[in-house]
Amino acid sequence: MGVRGDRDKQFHDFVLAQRAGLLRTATLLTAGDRHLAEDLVQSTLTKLYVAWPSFQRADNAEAYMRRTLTNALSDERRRLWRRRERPTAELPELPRTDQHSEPMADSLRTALRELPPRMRAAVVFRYFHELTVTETAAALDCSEGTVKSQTSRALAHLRTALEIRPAAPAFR
Amino acid sequence: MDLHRQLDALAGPEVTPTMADIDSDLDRGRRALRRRRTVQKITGSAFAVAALAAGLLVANSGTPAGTTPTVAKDPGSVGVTATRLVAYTGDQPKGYTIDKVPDGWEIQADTASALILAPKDALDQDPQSFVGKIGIMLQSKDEHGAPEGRKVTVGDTPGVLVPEQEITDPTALRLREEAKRAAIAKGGPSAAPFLTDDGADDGATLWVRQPGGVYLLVQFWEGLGLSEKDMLEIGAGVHVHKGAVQGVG
Repeated sequence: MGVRGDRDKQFHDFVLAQRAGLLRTATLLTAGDRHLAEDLVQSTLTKLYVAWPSFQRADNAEAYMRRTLTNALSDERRRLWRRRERPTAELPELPRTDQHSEPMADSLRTALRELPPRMRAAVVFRYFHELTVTETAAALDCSEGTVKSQTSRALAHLRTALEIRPAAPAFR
Repeated sequence: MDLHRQLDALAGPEVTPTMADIDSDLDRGRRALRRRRTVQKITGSAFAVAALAAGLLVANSGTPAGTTPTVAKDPGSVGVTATRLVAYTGDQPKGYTIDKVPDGWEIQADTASALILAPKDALDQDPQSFVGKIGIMLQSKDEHGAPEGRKVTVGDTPGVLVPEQEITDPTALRLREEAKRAAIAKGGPSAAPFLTDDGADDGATLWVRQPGGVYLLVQFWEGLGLSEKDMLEIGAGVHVHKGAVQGVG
């Protein structure tokens, strides 16, 4: 397929540079489900292409991209929910990925899956991307207070689930 | 091992996209942009038709006696399948009671967390599927408040009508395509018009505020031929009782 205009050329370069990183972030946002993560990335890139002029004008392109990814996560969950899942007290089983099957990765995957999606996203942005509270709030389109309370609750859950003591230096 | 390293491992390797990946992304983007522009054109045309009709009707109020009005059709009915609502007479489900359903519809599935309304002869009998159906449930415990949408009154209760966004995410498109193929294989394209009409864009979710602040959700799949008045009437006829359960996630 050829690249026809400025938008296509810019988008092509953007995908080349950002896709791999987006997929890794999406994998964490989906608690290790690589297939759903790929769908999430495709959905995000489609939204960005459609809104390309706005994306280009954004003061903070990275924040815009993260917000689009987070919104796509919500859309994806709603779409899946409305098509084939209904909210239940029991969380559905997600397919295991073949890679990273060591016990610690399995525990983390399970612990992340037990978090509500936006709380999971707060953890990913704060402790994987190491964004500040302000940057995370921008990515999630919420207040800084919400980020603090969400990450605090998420860390408490992860500590329990992974049996790591609160004093462990890993949790900043 | 610290949390960052664990997350880094779970995120997987950084795989450089192939040219085929990038081309596919570009293709999806172009198609979505084309669809959006087409929808905008259609919406603009429909508005123009309605405005023209309204203008003619106003003009007709001053038409000399004996002149035949030139507006023959109500533009609001163009392309819309009429669906009559009738009183629901079947067994009432646990957690809810419902007053009105589209003619020929039934409660296809009734669980603690959701109710599914569907045509009695629906090809798709999967109680997990919402395609071509009406889903009724309480909002998730993880959600609070209602999303942005048009404020409406449902019976005597405030609500929000949220039009369904254009489907662009690959998972939903793939599932819709699978459902369409299965329906056509069973009964031909006419057996499932809501699946074969890719242009239908009247899907919506009605959010109705309940006394405790939780919202009732009534989700209408696109292409059912229901007007907004019908949706509000169906929503007003859904009553939530103690047995209704909020889900999570």
